[in-house]
Amino acid sequence: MISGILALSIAFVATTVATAAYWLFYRDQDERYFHLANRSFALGSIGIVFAAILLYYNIFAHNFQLNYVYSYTSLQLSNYYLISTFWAGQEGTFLLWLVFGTLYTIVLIRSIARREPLVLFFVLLVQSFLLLILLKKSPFAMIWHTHADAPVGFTPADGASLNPLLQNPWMIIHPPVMFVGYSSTVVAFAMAMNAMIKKKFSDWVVQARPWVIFATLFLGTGIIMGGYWSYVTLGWGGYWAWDPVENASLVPWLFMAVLLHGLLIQIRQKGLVKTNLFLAGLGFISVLWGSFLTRSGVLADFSVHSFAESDLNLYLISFVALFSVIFLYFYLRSLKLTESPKFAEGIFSRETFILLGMMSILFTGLVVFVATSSPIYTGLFGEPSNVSMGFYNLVSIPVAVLMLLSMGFAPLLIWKVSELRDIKTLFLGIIVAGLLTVLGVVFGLTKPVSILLIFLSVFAVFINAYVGVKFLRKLPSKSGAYLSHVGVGLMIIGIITSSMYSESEKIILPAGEFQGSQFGYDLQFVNFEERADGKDRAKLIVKKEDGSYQADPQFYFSEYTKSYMLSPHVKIGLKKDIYISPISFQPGETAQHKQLELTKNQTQTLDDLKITFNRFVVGDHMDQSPMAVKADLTVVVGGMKEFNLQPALWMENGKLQGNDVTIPETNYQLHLESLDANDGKIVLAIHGGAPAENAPKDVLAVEVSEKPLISILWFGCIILISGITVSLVDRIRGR
Amino acid sequence: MRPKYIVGIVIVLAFIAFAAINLSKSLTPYVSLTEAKKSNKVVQVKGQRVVGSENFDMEKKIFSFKMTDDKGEQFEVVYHGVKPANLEQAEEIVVIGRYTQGLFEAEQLLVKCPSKYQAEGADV
Repeated sequence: MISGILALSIAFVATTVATAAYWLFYRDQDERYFHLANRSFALGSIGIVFAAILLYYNIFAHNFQLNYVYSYTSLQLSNYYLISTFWAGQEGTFLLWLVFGTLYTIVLIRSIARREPLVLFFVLLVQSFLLLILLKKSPFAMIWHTHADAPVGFTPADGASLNPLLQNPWMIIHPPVMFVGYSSTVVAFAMAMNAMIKKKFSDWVVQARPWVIFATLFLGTGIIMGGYWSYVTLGWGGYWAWDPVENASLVPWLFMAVLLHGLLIQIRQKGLVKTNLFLAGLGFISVLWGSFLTRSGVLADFSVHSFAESDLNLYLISFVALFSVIFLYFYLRSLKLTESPKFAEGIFSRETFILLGMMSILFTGLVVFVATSSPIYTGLFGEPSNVSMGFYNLVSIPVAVLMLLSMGFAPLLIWKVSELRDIKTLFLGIIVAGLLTVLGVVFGLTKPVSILLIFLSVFAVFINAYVGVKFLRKLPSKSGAYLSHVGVGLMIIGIITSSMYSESEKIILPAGEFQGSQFGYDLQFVNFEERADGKDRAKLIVKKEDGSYQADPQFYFSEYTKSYMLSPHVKIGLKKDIYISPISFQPGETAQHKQLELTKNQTQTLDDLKITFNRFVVGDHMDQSPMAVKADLTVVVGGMKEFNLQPALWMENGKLQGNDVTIPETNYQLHLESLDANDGKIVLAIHGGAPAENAPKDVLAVEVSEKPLISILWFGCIILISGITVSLVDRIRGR
Repeated sequence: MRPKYIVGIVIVLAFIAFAAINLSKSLTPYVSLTEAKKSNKVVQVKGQRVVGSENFDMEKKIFSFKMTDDKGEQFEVVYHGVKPANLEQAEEIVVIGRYTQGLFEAEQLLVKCPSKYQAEGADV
């Protein structure tokens, strides 16, 4: 599509000119460069926005000549899912990234472009690179550019459609939220670069703070949405699998969260100057590295849902390398130029505990970063290896202990002075946490690790809620941090109860029979319910003492994936979720299948049918093929009614084909299976009639699991997101 | 140096050691069957299933099937779960587990579907 490629090309040239012009404006302070930069940027954004609109236009117009539209959409997709096909492929996600980048640039131009043109230089440098990638892998490639067998001008009748797993409301909102977050990490990076080049290491901290909170908010929200989607649709029972794609989004989030606290310390205490510069670089480079890992195909063997291997490796890796080198050069230079003043003098000061929390999150981020990349460096020395889920879970435990300690103690402490003043609240917290933990043990907490973590989480939640409520009364705009920490504590409680105490049982359900379960309720597989959208559901009755309910997990064959798609049924409850996931289905015999061999003029009896084979008829008026041969049959039903039937057999594409003929007034069907013209013999297949006694029934295998208190996890997520939002609003207002 | 820094450094080093040791322990390499037989560690073997070799014991809830690795060697896989429903459509299967006593005891089956964007991971 020429207009789209042209728009992207213009955008690339204009953005590159703008990038250079901001640099020249920084160097020469010549107003003309500034105007050139702003105008070029405006032209570039028009190109980007035009490209985005054009892609949407083609998606909604079902222009299947466009490879992107063909690959991810179809005529059947509803408008909602057509919206989400925009980011179903790599090209679309890069375009989305560019659109958000453009929005951030507009905000930056209106605020700091004149004072800090270098920030714009770096943001637009990244935009130029993304545009270069889009020129290489264009969303406007025609189908004959990508498929060698498609002739020029070819229009497919329908598209390949969207993966059914992505046809889910969460998939409309999750990816864009994620990309709002990813793309915003560039701003803090650009501000840190600006600070290092200008050798002014304190101003950027205040400028970057709302952007860092913004990135933390959107990355966190996106990750949580992805986890929830995974929980309610994928059916494996969890919300987080430490998959490379998930890790690639988690790592930048953790780094941004650490930076958020680091900026606070620098603003309050003038400390952590070098650390913050480093974190801003690390956060952005981890985003680039993550896109490389998940888009280049290097992890294709290790991830269950990486994008397909692509030819972008060279571009992506040079993208990562270039920005890493630029960053490291200026960072190492800055190390000599700046000296962090001493801070965190005493052990029981607030900054010491914030530092402890920062270290624990940073450590997690680095470990996940290193472990996720393991196939790359282990591949250099031998068999590429990846790291099992168990590793991540194990490493998270000590980190969680430190993080909870720091979250619990920090609100009780004051800046600069090492003194535990609020002993009363501390003891109150310990008592409340102790009592609730004892209660937890009474209700079944057994594993020591979980008891320790629950105790610390409750303590952290209580202290933050206690102090947070005070703030809510006096100074609500400053309660964001406490609220967020309450959320994190609740999340940890929910994660522990729902994962360490989740129990599951695999149950085999022959249709119609009630089967007991270890959870004390009976399950019955009723039947399959056909749905108009093709996503059939298995109907299950779950009979409990306090009432029954119907569960209908999805189980259907998808033409798209050529496989069975499963989706669980989740009965959401405050105390626990009941999670039923279909695993396997064995169809039983619903009817008889019989074969009859007949020679000419022979009569055979089946149930109340009498079938006589009269003669062969060579068909010359069959639509299918002139080669059709029919068998002329006389069928007597119940000794009363007589019918003449002619099932046929013909050759089609070198294969024998036959048609099903229904015997009138019965539910039997006839099929001519084979014939031998020389001996005058035929073989008839007959199906239908009443099922035989003791015939195998349909059998559905399901996994039932209980997730205790998982509601606390989701509740904690909402609190966390609300907390960060409060902080963001406060920062934006405070400017 | 003040004791606080020493404590801090000790904690950091302890964490790094803890992570490094466990990382090297939990690395699960992709190997061929020959190597899996020699190894006592948890490994991953990639291959194709042998069509029609699946057997599901409804009473014991044990699922087994035969598989050939990339070098063409055939072996039997035992999995203490229920057969992943999309096994028949899989282009490739990755079994993660150990090889003991003539059988591959899979802790996890990774069924790779024709569509690259997704696949079912069946967890134990």
